[in-house]
Order: sequence, then C-alpha cells, then structure tokens
Amino acid sequence: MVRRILAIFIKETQDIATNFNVSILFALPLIFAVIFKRLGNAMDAPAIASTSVLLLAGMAGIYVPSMLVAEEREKRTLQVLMLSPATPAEVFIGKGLMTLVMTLLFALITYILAGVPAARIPVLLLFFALGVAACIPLGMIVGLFAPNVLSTGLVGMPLYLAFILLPPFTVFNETLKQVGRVLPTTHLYYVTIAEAGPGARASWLLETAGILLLMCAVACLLLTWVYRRRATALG
Amino acid sequence: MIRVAGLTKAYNKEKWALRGISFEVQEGEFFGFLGPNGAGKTTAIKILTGQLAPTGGEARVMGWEPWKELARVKPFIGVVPDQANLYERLTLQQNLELYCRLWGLDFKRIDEVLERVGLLKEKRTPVKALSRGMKQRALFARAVLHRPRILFLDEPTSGLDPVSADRIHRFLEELNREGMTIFLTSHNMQEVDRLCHRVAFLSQGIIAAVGAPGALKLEHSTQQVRVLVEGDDGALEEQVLALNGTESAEKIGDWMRRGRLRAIHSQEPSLAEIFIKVTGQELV
Ligand SMILES: Nc1ncnc2c1ncn2[C@@H]1O[C@H](COP(=O)(O)OP(=O)(O)OP(=O)(O)O)[C@@H](O)[C@H]1O
Ligand SMILES: [Mg+2]
Repeated sequence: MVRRILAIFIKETQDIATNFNVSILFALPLIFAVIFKRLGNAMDAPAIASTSVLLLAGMAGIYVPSMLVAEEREKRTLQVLMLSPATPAEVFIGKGLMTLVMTLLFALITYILAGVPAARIPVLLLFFALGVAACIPLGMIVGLFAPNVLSTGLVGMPLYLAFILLPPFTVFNETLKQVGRVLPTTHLYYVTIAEAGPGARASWLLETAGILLLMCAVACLLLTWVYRRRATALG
Repeated sequence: MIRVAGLTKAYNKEKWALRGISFEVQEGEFFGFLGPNGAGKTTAIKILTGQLAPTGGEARVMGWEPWKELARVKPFIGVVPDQANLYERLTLQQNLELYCRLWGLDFKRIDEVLERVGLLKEKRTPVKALSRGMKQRALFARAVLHRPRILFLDEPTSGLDPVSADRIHRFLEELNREGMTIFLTSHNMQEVDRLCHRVAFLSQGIIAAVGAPGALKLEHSTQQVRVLVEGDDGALEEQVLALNGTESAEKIGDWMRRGRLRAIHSQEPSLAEIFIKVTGQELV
C-alpha cells in the first residue's frame, strides 16, 4: 500500500516538473506574496501571509488535483493504473500527497517571505496542511466531473471563486459569515491572520483544528462516494 | 485460459455492442478477433480485462470473472489498449519505473523489455517525442513488464507502416513461442491469417464463424484449381478446373508430361472473402 502510494507520488512529482500549467499554479501565489511585500507598509505580515496562503490553498489545493485527475481520465492513463496493482484509493492518496507536499513547501516560502516570526511557522504549516487536505479531495471531485483538463477551470470555477474570494468578506455580513464557515479556506484564513500576528488562544486553535480535520474527513468521504457512483461512467 | 459463453453487452437500451458471443481460448493459443469498426472488439477486450461489466452471459479469465475479481486476474494479464496512453511528459524510463514500483519489480526489468522491443536507446526520451510506431512498442513493453500469461491486444498495428507492423508481428510470434497466450483483435485479415492459430469473425456483436484460418479456408473452398498452361502456339492460357476428378487428373497429367504447365493455384478464398460470405459485411 505504502509502496504503491509512493510510486504514484514519485510519478506525480516527476510530472509536475515538466508541466507548466500545473507548476504555475504553485508559483503564482508566491509571486503575489512578493508583490504584496513590495507594496511596502500597506500590508503587514499577517495580511500578506493570509492572502497568499488563501490563494495557494484555493488555486494549487483545488485546481491542481482537479487537473491531475481530469488528465488521467482524458488521456486514459487511469485505466492502465487500474490494471496495475494500484487501487483507486492509492492513486488518489498519491496525487493528494504530492499536492500537499508541494503546497506546504510553497507555504513555507510564503511565510518566510511575508516575515512571519519563525517560531509561529510550524503551527501555521500544520493548519495549512489541514486546510489544504480538506480542499484536495474537493478538487479531485471536480476532476471526476470535468470531461478534460481544459474544462476543469470552468467546472470548478464556482468552487475556486468561493474558496478564494469569500473568506475575507465573511466579516461584512451574517449570511456571508454563515456560508464562509463551511469553507476550509475561511478557517485557514483567520487562523493565519491570528497566528502570523498577535497569536491566538489555544482553545480556539484546537477547535479550528478539529473543524478542519472534520472537513477533511467529510471531503474524503464525499470523494469516495462520488468516485463509486461515477466509476462506471469513467470506463 | 479464457471462457466466454453467451456474453452480451448493451451500452444503453438500443445499443447492443455484443449480442451473445461464445468461445474458448486455450493456454498457449494465439487467438484472433477479426471484425470491422464497431463490431464489438474493444467491448469484448474491456470485459475480459475487467474494465467493463457485461450485461449478460459469462466471461472468465483463468477461472475468474474479471470485472468482479480484477485484483486476482491483474497479475496474469497484460493489455495493449487501442490508443496509446503513456504519460506523455515523462520519459519512457519514468513511465516504466512507475509500473515497476507498482508491481514491485526490479528496475533491471525495464532494460530487458526495452531491449526486446528495440527502444533501449529511447529510454530517456519523453514519450511525446516518440514516433507512433515507437509508442506502440512502448505499450508492448509496459504490457509485458510484469510477465503476464495472457496478452490482450486491441488492434496493435492499426495506423502503422508495414515495417513497424512486421516488427510487432515478429515480436508477438516470439512471445507466443515462449508460451504466452495471446488474444488479438484486428480488422486486418492478413495479420490474423499470418499470426493466429484460431480466429473468430465478429460482426455486429455476433460471432459468425470460428476456426483455424487454414480450416476455414478449406471449409469455404470452391474445390477448384486455377492452372496456367502453355498452348501449342506458345501463348499462355488460364483455366479453372475441379480440384478432384478424372477430367482434371487427365488434363493436368497430360500437361505435366508434355511440360506445358506453367503454374497451378488452389482456389481457396481469403479470410476477407470468407468474412463477406458468412457475415454479408465487408471488413474495414
Ligand atoms: N461507451 C459507449 N457508449 C455507447 N456505445 C458504445 C460505447 N462504446 C462503444 N459503443 C458502441 O458499441 C459498438 C461496438 O464498439 P466497439 O468499440 O467494441 O467496436 P470495435 O470493434 O472495437 O470497433 P473499432 O474497430 O472501431 O475499434 C459500436 O457500435 C459502438 O458505437
Ligand atoms: Mg476498437
């Protein structure tokens, strides 16, 4: 099981190195971080970190897995994988793991660039991992519905927009706040603002971690359910 | 090795791709499915390799029903699909490394299979830079990597030039000689004629005839011979005679004694002609 997940992970890592469409999605949030930083005093560390990380989770965390899954279907490579000892779960986990590791790497760079205190970075990365882990299965679901790589952008558009744009606006009214609560990126956004700045109460951090963990579990279950239902349509 | 009985597949209510086919393939046999576009060849392969569930009937590979017990069947089967589906951005080596890791094989095996299909030099080439024939051979390398006992091939030479096709034919013959059971689909009757021990004619989801190419030809033979004879004036004349009978025997014997016979052909039909005869449908 571990060996096969690792096999998929390695293949995905080798692949993104030559896949411009995907690697740009990892790099773009970082470029924004640099731009935000250049804006001078307009943005402090928590603002730069939270905005960049939000972009990273929304773009790389959802869009990338949707493209990876859609491409396997479009190019019919998934059917070969299914004839190898790999199970669908192993394929999804391998892909998710690659996305997680890559986004974590870029998140780390972003935190350092934003000027977040070094001591806070481990906690921030932990929350980032939880937040992205909840996004990745949702991206994969988009990939299962998109007929090809190109259309992942369109099929997933509502999701990407909501996950990236909504969190900063949840403070403005009650409806947005309620809607925002169901998005993992909202929790990630506010945890980042707090932890990159003044720091947050341990109880609140624990609660948020719990919520994200739960969201991650729900997203995984949802992916399993959708895959099972769509499996016949994928052959 | 393969047992199929009354197999049907309907993609939807009106679209019956297979309407009840039955056949068996023995161990070590080279078996061909000959049929035009849309006959149901790919559908049959997909069912036998567990990628599709049938609508009715039975299909077993090594005793198991592939779509139910794919995990058991997987180690014994290799598949060359109808379209190249390698990871295009990765190199040949990286593609095969993935499957070596998944099967738990030593990377030494990669060189072995690439050597056999003549792609060792292209090992570090990204797949997208390979020619069509090379990609096809790469699919072979991938299919036999884990040393399967049955190889399924879906039109492996369609779209290849004669030289590339011949290379693949020789490779398949070699594998078969080593004991691999081969199930091939094709709409190329020369290919099937050359390679297959037995062939099934598939047309619109039905098997119209099964048998060894030689036996099928004899069965549908018109029992005639065509001879080329030199007349008294030196001109060549073509005649069609019954294959057996005193009249033919005397005529041919006479020409032979007088040294007049230039050529003699038995008039057995080609597989393509038999196909039209039994299905009422043209190949291709
Ligand atoms: N996914 C599908 N949905 C609906 N109908 C399908 C599907 N796949 C195949 N068919 C139909 O089933 C029939 C058999 O198709 P199949 O692909 O098995 O033929 P084939 O013999 O492999 O043809 P070809 O030589 O073109 O590859 C065709 O009429 C085709 O239109
Ligand atoms: Mg076909």
